[in-house]
Formats: sequence, structure tokens, C-alpha cells
Amino acid sequence: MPRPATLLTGLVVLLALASVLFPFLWIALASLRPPHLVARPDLLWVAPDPANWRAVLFESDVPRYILNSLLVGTVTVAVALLVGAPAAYSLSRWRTGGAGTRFAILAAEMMPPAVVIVPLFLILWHLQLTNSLVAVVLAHLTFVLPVVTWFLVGFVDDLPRELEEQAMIDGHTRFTAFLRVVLPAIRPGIGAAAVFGFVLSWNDMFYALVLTGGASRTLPVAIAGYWTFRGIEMGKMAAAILVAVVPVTLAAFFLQKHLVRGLGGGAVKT
Amino acid sequence: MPGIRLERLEKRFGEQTVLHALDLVVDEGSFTVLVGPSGCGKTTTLRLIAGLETPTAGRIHIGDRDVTGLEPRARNVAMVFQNYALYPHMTVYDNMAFGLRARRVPEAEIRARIRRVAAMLGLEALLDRRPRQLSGGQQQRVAIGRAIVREPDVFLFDEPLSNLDAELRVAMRGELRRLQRRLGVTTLYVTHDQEEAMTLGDRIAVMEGGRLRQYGTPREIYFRPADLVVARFVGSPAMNLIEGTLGPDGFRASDLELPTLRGPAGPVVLGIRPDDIHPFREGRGLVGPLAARVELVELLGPRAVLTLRLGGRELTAVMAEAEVRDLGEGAGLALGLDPARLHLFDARSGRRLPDPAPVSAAAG
Amino acid sequence: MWRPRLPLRHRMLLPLVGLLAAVLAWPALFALWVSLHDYRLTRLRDVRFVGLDHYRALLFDPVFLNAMANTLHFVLAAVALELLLGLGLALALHRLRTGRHLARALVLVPMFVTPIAVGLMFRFLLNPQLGVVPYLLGRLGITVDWFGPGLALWSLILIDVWQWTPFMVLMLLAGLEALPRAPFEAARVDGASPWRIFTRITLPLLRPVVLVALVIRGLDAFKVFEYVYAITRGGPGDSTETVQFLIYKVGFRFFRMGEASAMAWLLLLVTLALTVLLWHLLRRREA
Repeated sequence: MPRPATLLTGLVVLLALASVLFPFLWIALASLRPPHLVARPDLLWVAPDPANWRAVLFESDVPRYILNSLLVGTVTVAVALLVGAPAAYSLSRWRTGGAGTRFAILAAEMMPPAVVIVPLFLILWHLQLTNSLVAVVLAHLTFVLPVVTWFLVGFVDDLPRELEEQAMIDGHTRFTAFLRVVLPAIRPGIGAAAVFGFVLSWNDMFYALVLTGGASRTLPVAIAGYWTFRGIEMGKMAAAILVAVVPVTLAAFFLQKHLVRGLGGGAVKT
Repeated sequence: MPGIRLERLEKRFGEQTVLHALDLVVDEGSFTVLVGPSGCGKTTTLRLIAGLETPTAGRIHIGDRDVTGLEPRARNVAMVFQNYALYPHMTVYDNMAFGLRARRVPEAEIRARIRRVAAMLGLEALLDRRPRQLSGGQQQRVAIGRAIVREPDVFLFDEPLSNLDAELRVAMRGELRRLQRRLGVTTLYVTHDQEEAMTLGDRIAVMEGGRLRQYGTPREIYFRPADLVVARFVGSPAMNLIEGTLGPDGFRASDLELPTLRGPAGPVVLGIRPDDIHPFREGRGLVGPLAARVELVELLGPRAVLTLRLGGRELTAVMAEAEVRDLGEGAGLALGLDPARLHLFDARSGRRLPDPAPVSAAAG
Repeated sequence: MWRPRLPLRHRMLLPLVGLLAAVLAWPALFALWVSLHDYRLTRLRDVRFVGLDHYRALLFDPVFLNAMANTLHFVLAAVALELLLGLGLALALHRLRTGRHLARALVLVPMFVTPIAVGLMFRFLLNPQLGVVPYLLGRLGITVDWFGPGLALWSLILIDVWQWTPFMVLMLLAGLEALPRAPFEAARVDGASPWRIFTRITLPLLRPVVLVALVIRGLDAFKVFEYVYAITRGGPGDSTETVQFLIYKVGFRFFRMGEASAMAWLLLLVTLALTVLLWHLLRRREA
């Protein structure tokens, strides 16, 4: 007979799992219903029909939006790593600018998008860069860059200084030691930062909604458009939602282990 | 093989001076140990020589090169860190090759050197592993091997054995000593462990508070400590120190009189190593007898550590087990001191005074 | 030729500072400038300086104050619920012996989903005609109008809790796993009750993690936009209009950039003040 506390533990976890999984399950089932049966909550099981998936994947612009989102996320993360990694090293090793700087980085990430969006829009509008992916990349850098840097600071903190010192004695300059030893040694951290940065970019709708239109829309903006067609489009919306959700969820599985170290940055020792 | 010469080397971190005008010459091919309590400046000295810190003042020479302003990579030194600093993302082979590749040594020669060193250290089977797949002792060997393949002018060791367990530490100590003899490379070794310093060093530099206290052979350091700091630091159990005064009628302390000791008058500290306290026997030339009481006997195999009470003070003595076999706690014991092994220090400066010359070996 | 020699530490940081200045600092200052003008996209030839007029007007503007109140309500309720549920769930997962890794991985999934998808999912699930939840509740004789007046904001809070409790779980679970064992064993030996151990040892030791998690989550919650956009568009009435949504509406539907910027700066100030306050409250008790 298990102890009541153990029983309670199991119950809590089961309940949590059920409430997490049920929405996904229901959406998945809905995406497999023929269009006229999507709006029938009283039917728990309907024979699967791939019509919605076929429509979304092959007969709509969704693949293009996926490509847009992929492109924006990849470029944003690449720039963020290129700029963020040396900065993270400097912040971790020399505390450049004092202890306040690393929190300034965190604060930058927390800046309400509303503060940045108006001027960003105006600037890009004057440069005639709205409705282009460049605009979204620049906008996404406002939060991906600080997050990636904040992540990497934590990972560099965990790396013993002696590693670079050894490399410098072994014949490298400080900078080549950074390239040849520090960067490869924090590869898991870089991976985690990249995946997390990508997820943030992939998931953003606010900036993309304001800065893109037509062919330059990203996936979340496109998904937001589905509801306007009312009931009959629900099945396609469900399929499109799953398209946006599944890859990120898979990425997240590999990310978990490093996520806490990264989010904690210089603040939480784990 | 070049030696190392430090001239008036000084290092300040902000307000704090961690190294005061250090002068030190490390002989070519010697194994020299820097020893001292933590914060004494020994690691800073090592890092200054490696070029990882910039001196506030003074010069550093390796051989006849002045390397003071050079970057670490231009100094041709190799260093072994306490945490080994093995590159986690590289195999053992690549770890060892890393420094050579940075110096553009041809791959064929790299392979030959690594093979030779790996054989020397028994690393052949580990060359394809990564650091995290190795035990602490193996990582240690790799770190040493990585230093050796470089064939540097100087080896710098920063407490390399302190992360190993006791047994392995003793084994590695012997091995390091033999390796250094065989290679003949000038070696500077930092440790806080005086026993390690005594067993490893051709010469030992004892540091404290950012200053060099004594520089000499292990024998000199142990038998003729230059001041109280060195006397306290070296030897285990620690030297017994008794404050008193020296006058025309010998040494006097609150509960101890040794009328036969002679020296300049004034307040002094008398130092007696635990090994130099014996049960009193006539005719051996011992100073005594001094009536003491046994408080505690700790047996260490063939030898025993005794805590003794002499008047109001405690003394530590080390004697052969056979000599104390019948002594229970609380037993009385007449002590005799070896007069040739007594140390006198000026109480004010802490400096060693000329050896106390006893008038006669007879008891006073 | 004079060549500035910057130390490496600054050279490595410079690209970051430069890029952040370009995409964050400069726009933020530009926003400040815009907020002091009557700046409309429809009347770009007629931009007039109005000083603090927008700010003065906003402080008495019922629409803005309502949005601010809704936002604060949303943030406080959502974050508090997430902390409580997250703590409970983290403790349960921490105790769990079998299937721990899988359970944890699954529980964390919602936080990786794009919020607009979450919003649409729940709009679908809770819709009175199409939704499975009202249908099932209906079978039990319960009727709830999830997005009707009075309840809509709480429904959005519930959605936020669904999505972001996992974040709290992630942080707290890591905190729990990093706790030293010794104090707990000492307390058990001393005969302390589980509740006492929890309140006297677990919670105090978790405080730094809780602090970081609260700050990150709190600041993030202020940005709530997607649920509103996906489901209620501020309605019914203005009961779910948040500041972020209002700014979007004023700036990009009505093109009144000056007012939108002023609102944005006020939002920034409020979040900043709350962060500092929270930081001090929790720091002080640490001493």
C-alpha cells in the first residue's frame, strides 16, 4: 500500500500531464477530421481524413511561411551568436563594465516590445524595409541577441579560466585561445542558446505582425489569419498550428538539460 | 637548459600588494619548490613567470632572455594546473598535440614526440579517449605529458597533485621526481604542502605574506630555519616554540630553565623539533633532565607522537615506539633535549640567532 | 596614422553594444522623441512638438488606465498562480520515482509553443458552439461563458497559466535538485516535521531561484498580446484590453504614433518600477 503522499504525487503529475496533453490531442484529432465534422464536439472519434493536412501542406502558402520563419530564425540566431559569443566571453572573464552590465543585458531582453516597435516600424518604413524579412530579423535581434548573450555568459562562467591560460601558454593569443578552446568547449551551451534563440524567433508574432505582410509573413502571423474564415477552416487551422508546434517541441526536448543553466545566466548556480 | 631569474618582482592588485620585490634565482635544470600558506604569493609568482599576470615592477629572465613584456605563448614555458585544464572537447592525443600544432611543428614529429612521451607515462592506451573518460590520476598524467611533449625551457607546476587521493599523490610525487631528473628541465613547482616540498625539491623557497622567507635545500630549511615563519611552517608535527629570555645564566622561560644555553641577551624564542626530544639518559650529551608528564600517546607504527606537559606548557615529541611502550597517560617522564638541534630566534624580528652553544653537555 | 588601441575586452564587447544600440537603444530614444510629438503616420508633414501633453492626457485617460489596470491584474494573477502551481508541480516531479524524465519533458512542452497557437487552440477548445470543454461541462450541467463579460480576462489568465507554469516548474525543479542534502538530513535527524522542513529550509534555500523566475516571468507577462489578439481583441467591451494591445491598436490601426510611444514609455516605467520593487522586497528578506 503506497503512502498517501506518494499517491498524491502521482495524482498531481497525472493531472498536470492530462491538462498539458489534452489540448494537443484534441487539436490533432480535429486536424484529421473532414471539414464538416470539425465543429462537432459531441463526436469524440471520427475516422481520420488527411484533407486538412493536404490542403495546408500542398495547396496553401503555409510552406512559404514556414520557409520565412526558418530563414528569419536562422539568420537572427547566426548574427546573435557571432556578436554575442565574444561579448559573453568579455563579460564573463573581465566583468567588463562591472556587474551591472550583465543585468543590463537581461533588462534589454525584458524591454517591452511596444517601446521598440513604433520607432522600429518608422525607421524601417522610411528605409522602405517593411514587408521584408530584414525588418523581422532586426526586430528579433532585440530579444534574441540579449538572450543568447545571457545564456553564453553563464556557460563561459562555468568554464575554468585555466583552459584559456593553458592555450595561451601553448602558443595562442587570448583571442585565438577563445576561438580554438573556449568556443569548442562550450559547444553544448552554444547549441542550447541557438535552439532557444531560434524558438523565440520562431514563436514571435507581435513584431512580425507589424513588420511583415503578404509574402513576407512568418508562420505565426499566417496562423493568426486562419480564424477569420470561421468554422469551416478550423481543421486547417489545427493542422497549421501543429506544423508550427511540433518542430519546436522536438527541439525543446534536446534543449531542456541546458535551459536552466542558460536562463539562470550569471544569477543562478546549478 | 636555462634557469629563471626574478629581479625585484612586484605585483599589486589594486591596494593590495601580493608580492614584495622578490629576488629569486632558479638554477638551470633544478627542481625548485615554492611553498607557503595560501595567499603567500607563490601562485602569483608562478603566473607572473608564465605571463598570465603582468608584474607591477621588476623583471623576469628565462635563461638570458628578458621575458617580462612577452606574451605567455612567446615564453616557451609549459604549465600544469591544479585542475589539469585539459581541453574537454579534444582527445588525449589532440590535447598533447595542441601546443605543438599552435607552434606549427610538423605532424610527423608531433606523432613521434607524443608516442615517446605516452610510452614514458604509460598513456598509450588512452590516446583516443576524452578527458571526461579518464580517472583523476590519468588526467594528471595527461596534463604532465602535455607539458613534456612541448619540450619547453621551463616547467611550471601549480599544485598539480592536490586533487589526487593520498596514495596516488605519494606515487606521483616519486614519478615526477624521476621524470624531472631524466629530462633535466628547469622546474618550478608550487605547493602549500611542506611535506611535498621537502620530498620533491632540490631547493625550496618558503614564502609568506608576499615575501621570500628562506631559500635553500630541504636540509637547510628543516635543520636551520631562517626565521619563525619557516620554523612554524616546515615539519610535522610542528616545532615546539617556547618564548623566554636569554641572559648570562642561560635561557629562562616561565617554567623552563636551560642554564647551559648561550647567546646574545634579550627576548628569544626557543625552537625544539619533536624529534629532538628524547627520554633522558646520562652520557648521551642531552640537556636535561626535564620532568614532564605524559598527556597523550598516539601510536604511528614504529613511532609515537607524545603530547607532554612541562610545567604549564604543552610539548609535542616524537619517539620510537619501543621507548614509550610502558608509558601510560599521566605517567612521569624525564626528558632530554639534543643540544645541537636547538633553534633560537630573536623574539622581536623572528630571525634565527647564531646556534646556541651550550657551555657543557651536563645538566644544570 | 593614429590607430586607437582598444583592449581586447572592449573589442569583443563592442559589436554587441553597437548592435544593441542600433536595434534597441536608438529606437527607444526615438520612441521617446516621438512620444513628445503629435506624430501620425497619416500626417507626416505635420509633426508638431507637444511636450508632455500625451503623458498628461494618458494619466487621465480612462481607456489607457483601464488597459493598465487589466494588464496589472493579468500579470499579478497569472504570475502568482504560476508560482503556486509551479511549486506544487515541481515538488511532485521532484518526488516522482518512475517516469520522471518523460513526465518532466512532457510537462514543459507548453512553454515552447508559439503563443498565438496557444491562443487559437483555447479559442477553439473553449468556444461555446465548437469547443469540447463547454460541451463536456454542459453534459455535467455546467454552463460557463468563458469569453463573456466578467470572465474573459480570467480565461486569458488561465491560458497564460497553462502556457507558463512549466517555466516555473523548470526553474524550481532545477533549484530543488541543486539544493544541498545536508540541511535536510540534519533537520530530519532533529525530528522536524515535513511541513516545517518545507517552510524553514526548502523555501528559504529556493529564494534566489524564485526571485529570478518571478522577475523573468513577471516582465514577460507584461508583454501579453497574442491571446488577446487571437481571442478577444480586447472585448467584450474593453474588459481584456491590455496595454500592449492598446498600443498596437493606437499605433498600427489608428497610426497615432505619438500617443502609442508615450504609452510604451509609461509601460516601460511601470515594469521597471515593479521589477526594482520586487527585487528589493525579496533581497531584503534574504539578509
